[in-house]
Amino acid sequence: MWRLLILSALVGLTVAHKDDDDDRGGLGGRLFGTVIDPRLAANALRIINLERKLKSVREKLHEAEEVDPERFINNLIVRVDDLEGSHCPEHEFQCGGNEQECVSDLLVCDGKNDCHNHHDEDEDVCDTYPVKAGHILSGVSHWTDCLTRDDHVTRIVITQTKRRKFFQSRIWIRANVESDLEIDGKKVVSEFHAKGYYNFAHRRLTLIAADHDDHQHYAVVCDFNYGDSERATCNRVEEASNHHCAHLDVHLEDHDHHDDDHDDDHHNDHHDDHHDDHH
Amino acid sequence: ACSNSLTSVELAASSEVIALRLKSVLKMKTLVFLVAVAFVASALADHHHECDELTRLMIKSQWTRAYSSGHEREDFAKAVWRALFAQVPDAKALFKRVNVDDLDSPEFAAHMLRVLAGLDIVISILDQPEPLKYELEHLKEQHDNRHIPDNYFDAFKTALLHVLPAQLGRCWDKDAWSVCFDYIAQGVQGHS
Repeated sequence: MWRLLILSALVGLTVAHKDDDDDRGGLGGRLFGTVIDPRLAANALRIINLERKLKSVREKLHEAEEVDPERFINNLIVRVDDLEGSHCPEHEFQCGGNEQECVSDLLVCDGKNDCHNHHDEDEDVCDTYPVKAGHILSGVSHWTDCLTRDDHVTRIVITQTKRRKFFQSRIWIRANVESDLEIDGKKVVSEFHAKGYYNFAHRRLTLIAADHDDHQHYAVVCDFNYGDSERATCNRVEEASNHHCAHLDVHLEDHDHHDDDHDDDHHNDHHDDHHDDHH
Repeated sequence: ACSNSLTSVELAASSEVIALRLKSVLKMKTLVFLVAVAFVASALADHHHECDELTRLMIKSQWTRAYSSGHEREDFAKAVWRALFAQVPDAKALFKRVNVDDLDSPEFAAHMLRVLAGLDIVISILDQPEPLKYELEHLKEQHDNRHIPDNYFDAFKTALLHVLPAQLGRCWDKDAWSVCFDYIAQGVQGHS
């Protein structure tokens, strides 16, 4: 790389006004004629050019990542499926495909095939990624009832997950729910501990206040209904009646930069497995 | 906080009355005393230490929702039994007579429902001491000569206590189910 740079500086001085085609005339030609093979110099230029192009391709890669046709189509399929609805009762999972079979959501992702097409044990369906420990789901809460609050940011920080080996169709979850509020001109973070579960069949995360005496914090119900595991539509609801108080769309906060987070994940999972064995 | 609000409110109210009475009788208004009363009251309100009358009513109503009907009931039973055998596979030996090798067989499906039906009877008369006593005695007789190890009962409880919240969602009370299940299981096992 450094050699190329030096070379490029040299060549830049000499052939600034020429094509990179071989040309023995002029000052540059004479210089190269005596010092370096001009063909080599021309190739060096080409290489420099290629390197520049590679750099711009690399930059474009980031833009390309933003557009994901597969994800887009998946997203559309899920949205349309949602509108289409299913004939399955509330607590049932539709096996999909052309068979239109319904199975109980208690049997989805429990390690045994219940759909004839085995869809209830599909990797996509049983993906645990939406609720990995360490994940932070954040979005803006828009209150329409229950509390008088301006729009504010809310974060759901998943702190612990448990999946019992003998009953795998739910993931039991602990989380912190944080809200950035502004009270009397001061920024305050209102936070509470929540417990709940993730239901594979409906891709739904439900969290209620973990403390029995905690009646002031509304429950959170999130549906991962975008066809991916990074976005969800959530509501703050009254625990008993499921009455909707606020709406928020959340997305998974980028934590590519903190590699420690991933380690924490593993640690947590292991810990939970261990915990399982004791029970 | 869903359905146990009844008991918490009740207990909170009664503890308030007690606190007021004590206050007038003893004329002790020290802060320390009140704090102590409040502490005891909140501890009482938080946990169901026993399967008392109100707790039994709550169990009854939650069971009705979980037990449901039709093929939803079959699925509920299936989930419970799968969770049971996943914990104690050896327990299958007890059910050879009802084709346990094929959990989806009609014979075993019938048996799963039959056992839950027994549990349904017990739970539905939890608030009637006399019939409850006879039903538990009846179940004890049925189980006596099968020599069922205690840990199978524990595994059944664990299975039930995981499938119930999955079925009921937000509104269920783990402590209440734990104490009342123990009460029923002890009746069936004959332990006191």
